[in-house]
Amino acid sequence: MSRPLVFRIRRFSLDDGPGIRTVAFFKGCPLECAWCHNPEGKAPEAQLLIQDSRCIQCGECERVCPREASQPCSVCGRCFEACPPGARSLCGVHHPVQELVQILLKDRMFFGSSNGGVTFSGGEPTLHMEYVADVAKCLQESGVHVALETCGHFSWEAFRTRLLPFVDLVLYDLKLLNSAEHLQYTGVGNEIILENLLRLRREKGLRITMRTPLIPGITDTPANLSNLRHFLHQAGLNDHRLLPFNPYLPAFQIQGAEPCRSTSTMP
Amino acid sequence: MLDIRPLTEFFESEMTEGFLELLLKMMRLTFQFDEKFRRNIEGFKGRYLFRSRDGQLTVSTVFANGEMEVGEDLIDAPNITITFKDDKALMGFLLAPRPDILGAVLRQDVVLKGNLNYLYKFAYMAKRLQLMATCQA
Amino acid sequence: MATITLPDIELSDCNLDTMPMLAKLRTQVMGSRAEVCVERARHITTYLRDLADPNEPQILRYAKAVRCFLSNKAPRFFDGNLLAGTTTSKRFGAPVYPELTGLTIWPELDTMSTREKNPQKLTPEEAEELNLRIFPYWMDRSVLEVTRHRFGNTEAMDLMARIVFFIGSKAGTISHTVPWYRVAMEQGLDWIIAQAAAKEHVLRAQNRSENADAIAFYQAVQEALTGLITYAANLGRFAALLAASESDEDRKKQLQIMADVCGQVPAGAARNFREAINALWLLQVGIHAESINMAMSPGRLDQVLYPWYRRDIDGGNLTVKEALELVGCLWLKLNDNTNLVPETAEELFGGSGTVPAVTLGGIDCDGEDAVNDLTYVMLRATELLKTRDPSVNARYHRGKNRREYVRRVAEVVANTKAVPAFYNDLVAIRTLENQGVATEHARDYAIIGCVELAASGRSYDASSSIILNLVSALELALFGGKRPVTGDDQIGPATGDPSTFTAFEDFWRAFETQLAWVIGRAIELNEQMGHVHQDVMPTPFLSSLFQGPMDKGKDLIFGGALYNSSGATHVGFADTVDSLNAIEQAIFVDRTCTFGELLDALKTDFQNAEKLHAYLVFKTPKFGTDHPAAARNAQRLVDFLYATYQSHTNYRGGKYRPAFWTMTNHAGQGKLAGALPNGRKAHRVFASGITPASQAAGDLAACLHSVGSLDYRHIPGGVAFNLKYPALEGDEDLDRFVGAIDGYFQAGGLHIQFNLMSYETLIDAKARPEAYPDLLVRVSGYSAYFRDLNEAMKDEIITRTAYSLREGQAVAFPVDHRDLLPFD
Ligand code: SF4
Ligand code: SF4
Repeated sequence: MSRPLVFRIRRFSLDDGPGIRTVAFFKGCPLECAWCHNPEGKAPEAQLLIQDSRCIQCGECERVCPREASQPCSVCGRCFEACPPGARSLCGVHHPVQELVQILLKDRMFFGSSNGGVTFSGGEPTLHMEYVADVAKCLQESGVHVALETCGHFSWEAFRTRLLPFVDLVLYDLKLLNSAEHLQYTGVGNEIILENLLRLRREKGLRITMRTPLIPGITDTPANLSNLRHFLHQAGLNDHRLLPFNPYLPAFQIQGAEPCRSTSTMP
Repeated sequence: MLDIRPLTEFFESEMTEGFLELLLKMMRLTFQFDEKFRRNIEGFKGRYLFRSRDGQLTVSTVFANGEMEVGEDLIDAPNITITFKDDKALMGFLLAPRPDILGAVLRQDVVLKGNLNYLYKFAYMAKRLQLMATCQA
Repeated sequence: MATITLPDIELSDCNLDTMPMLAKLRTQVMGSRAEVCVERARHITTYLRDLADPNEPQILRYAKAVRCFLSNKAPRFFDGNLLAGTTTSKRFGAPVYPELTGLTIWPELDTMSTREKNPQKLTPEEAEELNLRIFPYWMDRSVLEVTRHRFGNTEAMDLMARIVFFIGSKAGTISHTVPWYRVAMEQGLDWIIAQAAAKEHVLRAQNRSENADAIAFYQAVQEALTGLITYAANLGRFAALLAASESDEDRKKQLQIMADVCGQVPAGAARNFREAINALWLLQVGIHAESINMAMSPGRLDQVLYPWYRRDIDGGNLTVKEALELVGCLWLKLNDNTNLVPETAEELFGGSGTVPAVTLGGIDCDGEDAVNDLTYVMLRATELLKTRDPSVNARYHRGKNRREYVRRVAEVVANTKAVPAFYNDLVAIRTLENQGVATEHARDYAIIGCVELAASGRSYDASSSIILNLVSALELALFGGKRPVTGDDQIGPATGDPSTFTAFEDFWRAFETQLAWVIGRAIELNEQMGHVHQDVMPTPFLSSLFQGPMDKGKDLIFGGALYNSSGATHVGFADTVDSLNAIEQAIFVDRTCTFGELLDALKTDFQNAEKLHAYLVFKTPKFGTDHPAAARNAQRLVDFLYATYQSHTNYRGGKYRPAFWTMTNHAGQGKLAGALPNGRKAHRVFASGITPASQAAGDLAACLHSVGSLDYRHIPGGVAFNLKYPALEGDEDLDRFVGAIDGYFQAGGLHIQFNLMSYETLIDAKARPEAYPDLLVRVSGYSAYFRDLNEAMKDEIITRTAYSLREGQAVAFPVDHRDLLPFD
């Protein structure tokens, strides 16, 4: 696995657990959801983001780019630095464990009084089990409440022994109960996810919040919702939240894997 | 009743050349003929010095003994000296419907030295005259 | 420590439907238009001109003039308010104080009734009286002119005349203070008069010439207070007369009660809650007979009035609803006057009230929770009435005050969309202690006017002495002692052409030199005017309501209070800090441009410098983002100002205290300043108070953290931090709202206040003022009706960053209105 990269730190967030929270988003995801709202979190490697609305068409980026026309972007970073309005930015930064801990602790003042804390999200944070566990351990030692947002697609043993001990709350995404549909819309079946969930619910002292994004025509069908409800009820998982669907409005273009287009193609 | 038509026309025209002389002249005349207006200067002592920025124009106005004297010499110990860029600036400063006092002070279109209360009184009288001339008073 | 006995701290049963009297009074107050009141000017002038004995000391003559005014002041009952007494002779009056800046309205006497913006009505007869009988007397006697006469036309005076460097407020006001009314209410003015007479007697018996000043002071106290007693007696007689002919039984009864009340207070001790609250109001009226109606702040009313409230409630002589009605009446009475504002001043100060600040909650002198039932009654009055004044401030002690209290205050903010403001007790108390205030006095602090801190009734802070424009010093440093707006005149010291500077430190030194120079001029003028105040406008009435003067035999203006200070507040903090950051980063770190290129871009307002402009706006460190360079420069500026001011001792023996609150000056001064290195374009508004520049700090947590992390011990004058949320809905939002305040206070923040309005609402309110007649907003310390503000100030409030409480991020500014933004 490549070095864990964080692509965003959202401070003062409401939607990712109780109270006021700081959320660290990790790059890399084993799923490929059709409706993905965080496309910059999919690829594990660093990428270049371009925010067209800020671009003033000054051509600086082209001037400093070392790459031949046919080569892909190497995310060398020169254009990030050169772009005057900051329309270009680096998506994915690696922080040493202690550095990330310090960044996350900066907002401690908001956690205590609101019963908030830190949430790990992504992408999929469990792709970086060791690293996230180290950070979570330090946070817990500082008395910070730790939540983990996961799609459930991870290796149980590693999770249980390494990461779980340092997590107070798991926000567990469950999209579709039918594995074939799951495969169709997310690129993987849901067997591992369900299996992990059933193991997880036996862990003592752990809070689990189940979450289902309501995707029109996909997850919000009466059949899926009633199946999910039934399944979760059977499993004794009664904290289930439906997340309303917000149309995805991309604020930027991602570049990285494909060749970097020159500024002339920008609107 | 004094004929203040020239002033009326003046206020309604775009012209500003010679504004100060005309204003002072009309003010002086009005004091002579209009008893009510004259009450403004009964018992009032005030010495004003108006100067154009280029030094071309110097006008002094002295109020004393219920009378108004206008001269073209420098006077001693004015209560206030008003230095203005040109007639237009002065007129705008004193009489525009919504005078841009801040702008005039900032651009130094009108520079005031001395006791501002004397300027306030003068501006009141000028305004009054304007209202009389344009039949709003 | 007070226990809460209210079954429902929200008092949800009491509202404007169940209290139709308050509803009606409120409608009348909101509907009344300002009228100029000449009554005070008439009597004061007549006395001093025609009746005063020129051989008497000025303090005595002035006190007698105040007495003459109060004794002749017409008793008026304009509406069904339960409290007797009015500040002016008009329903909503703008009194003229010719000793200060009253004469500035002279040119407008014939036009101010009909001017477009905030007209103030003046009858032709009263205009005539001002023109012919009142103003002429003051032409050579107003504070500014006496100063000019005594000290000459100094450089400092010329600098002030240019408007864009600093304002020496003493030309127009001094008071800005919090008296302590408790003694006058508990003992009565007769008692204070007797004290003064006894002290006078003792001093006379000593027959020593050095006692003359103290003797005159005690005499003056007796004169001034007697005036108020006469006024109250007249009010009482008139109320009885009105009662006799009143046909409405309810009103008749109320008038009879008022007649009785005025027969007892303020001369005698208040015997019940109603007498206490009316006595307090009469004292407030009395103070305005002597000092101008600016920021005379009644202080901690939930503490001051509590003993009477408790006694009456426990004795079954008062219901909570009656108490709420009386508090509501006081709130509305505090709205019965406004400032006299000439048209030109509208541009700089338009829309402000008289800002009598009321302070609630916090801890008491012993350090215990001071929140009581009356606190909640006053919060409810504030929530129901939503009036511009009083400016209500809620103290919050994170260790001692209960969670339900702070939640309740938050709820009131949610319902009024603007008030109260929050203060952090821990930080405020520590800041005052650091100024040498004893702990028990610091714990009893109250807010003056906008946001300034006072040890209630013990400190005389003249907290609005200087309003200084930081950007003026920045521009002087950029252009070697000149400012683009003031043309080619060499104004400040020649600190050199910055394009020859080789390090950021060189520029910082130039900036400090200019800043210290402007500060020096401002202090010089303030000192001169302070001495003139001592000569012409002593304040024996006010002094008798403070701790110190009555013991020392010394008026407040001579340093009679226990603690003394002068406040200097600063305009353009965030823009200055961000500009310093930008200079450091662009020229000396990134080397994106040379100093010469930057100066050229500033001179042309960034025309043909689009790339540089974008870089400055988006890529240089901004105050409010947690950027270490920005935090360092911000604190460095705070520290420099603190050290500079504290090295000066004022004419009363107190220190100067720097502050960061701006009323509407940041909008007005912004309109008068050129382009700045932070990318703010020419003639755009500055950020308010201590608030980060609009749209520069997108992350709420970082913003709260950076503002909260300043060292407030070095800002003893107080700050205004203005935050905007588009909305506050439901319990979850309320929790987060409180959580944000908690976090900000934990980081060390001192003050925070809110506007709960979206960009869209405010833009619409600007376009269609008639649709939002009562829209209340927090400006930068005080509250105002949005419709009354000038255009620049409206734009500033519109463009303030609005944060989503759900995401902790700035809400995107509407694309169609981006031209309002300071940097677009
Ligand atoms: S486009 Fe890619 S390769 Fe070119 S400068 Fe930017 S980051 Fe480097
Ligand atoms: S993206 Fe390229 S062209 Fe656009 S502003 Fe940035 S550097 Fe200039």
